[in-house]
Amino acid sequence: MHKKLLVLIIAMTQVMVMAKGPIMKFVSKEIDLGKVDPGKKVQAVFKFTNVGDEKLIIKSVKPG
Amino acid sequence: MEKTAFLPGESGTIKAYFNTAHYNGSVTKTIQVYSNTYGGGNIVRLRLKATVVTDLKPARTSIYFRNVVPGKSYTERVFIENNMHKPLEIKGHSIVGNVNASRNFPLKVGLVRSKDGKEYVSVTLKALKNMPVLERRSFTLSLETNSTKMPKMNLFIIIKMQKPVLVTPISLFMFGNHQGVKRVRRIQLTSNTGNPLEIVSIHSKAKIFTFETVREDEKTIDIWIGIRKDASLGVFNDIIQIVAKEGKTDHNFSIPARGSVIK
Repeated sequence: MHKKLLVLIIAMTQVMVMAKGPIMKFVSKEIDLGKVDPGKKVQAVFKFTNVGDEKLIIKSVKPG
Repeated sequence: MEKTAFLPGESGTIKAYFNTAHYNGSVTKTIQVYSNTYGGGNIVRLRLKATVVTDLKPARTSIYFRNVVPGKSYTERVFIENNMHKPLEIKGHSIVGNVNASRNFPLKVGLVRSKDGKEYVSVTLKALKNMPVLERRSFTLSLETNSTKMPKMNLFIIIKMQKPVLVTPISLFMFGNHQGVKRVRRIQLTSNTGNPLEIVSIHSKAKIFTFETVREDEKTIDIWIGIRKDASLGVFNDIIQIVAKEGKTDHNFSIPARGSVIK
């Protein structure tokens, strides 16, 4: 009985979080480069996955 | 970004760059990503943090020279926090950006070491004697150092010159039964340069004022403003134009004078 209820709850949660459209999921939205030297060009790489069920289109990336 | 479209399950990267020049200490940059999630117009904010570590850190990044008078020299010192584990050396200096602004101000840059080993950059500025007096000038002084992390250290120089002639007050209000009174209000002119001061002319449009010039000393002159005996009654709104000679230069001053003559 308890097992059945648990399965039902899990199934319901699955439905609730089911992807609608494209979803951009980042590994981390914040990157700390730590200590860096002055007068240098430093780089950070943000990794993401489209966990949605439609094609993700990135329109623009802007600073600010 | 080379690729802009990602199928479900596909991964990608966003690369963000930033130049650490002109930063000191912790810096946070934000990046906005616009995509078609949630039906378009959705924004995801990414944050990029870094701590810029310099081995030379000036106690202040700007030097302010106040009340500068032509012909005089001024020296300011800036403490430099040195984490290089070797003595600081200043190999040279140059003006960056607005070179014209520094034209009348020859600079000397030196290094001062106090007895307890503290290092200061000393900047001596000389205002040329016959230069035109300009209220405010600023430029960037770039110092060449022996630091590998900070081979160029910038100091922002701000110069505020002293007005050659000080006039007080800047406007007059005269209200009352002053017909025929010679000393109602006083305008004082003071030479700030050390040059002698002279009054060349005093004018006003309406013929209601009387002017009396009293010399306090070589650098200070008082102008007493009175109301003529035959001044018509009523409100007046006028400007008193004064031309004063300071050294060899003429200076014009306009002092608004408002009020009314009553009986």
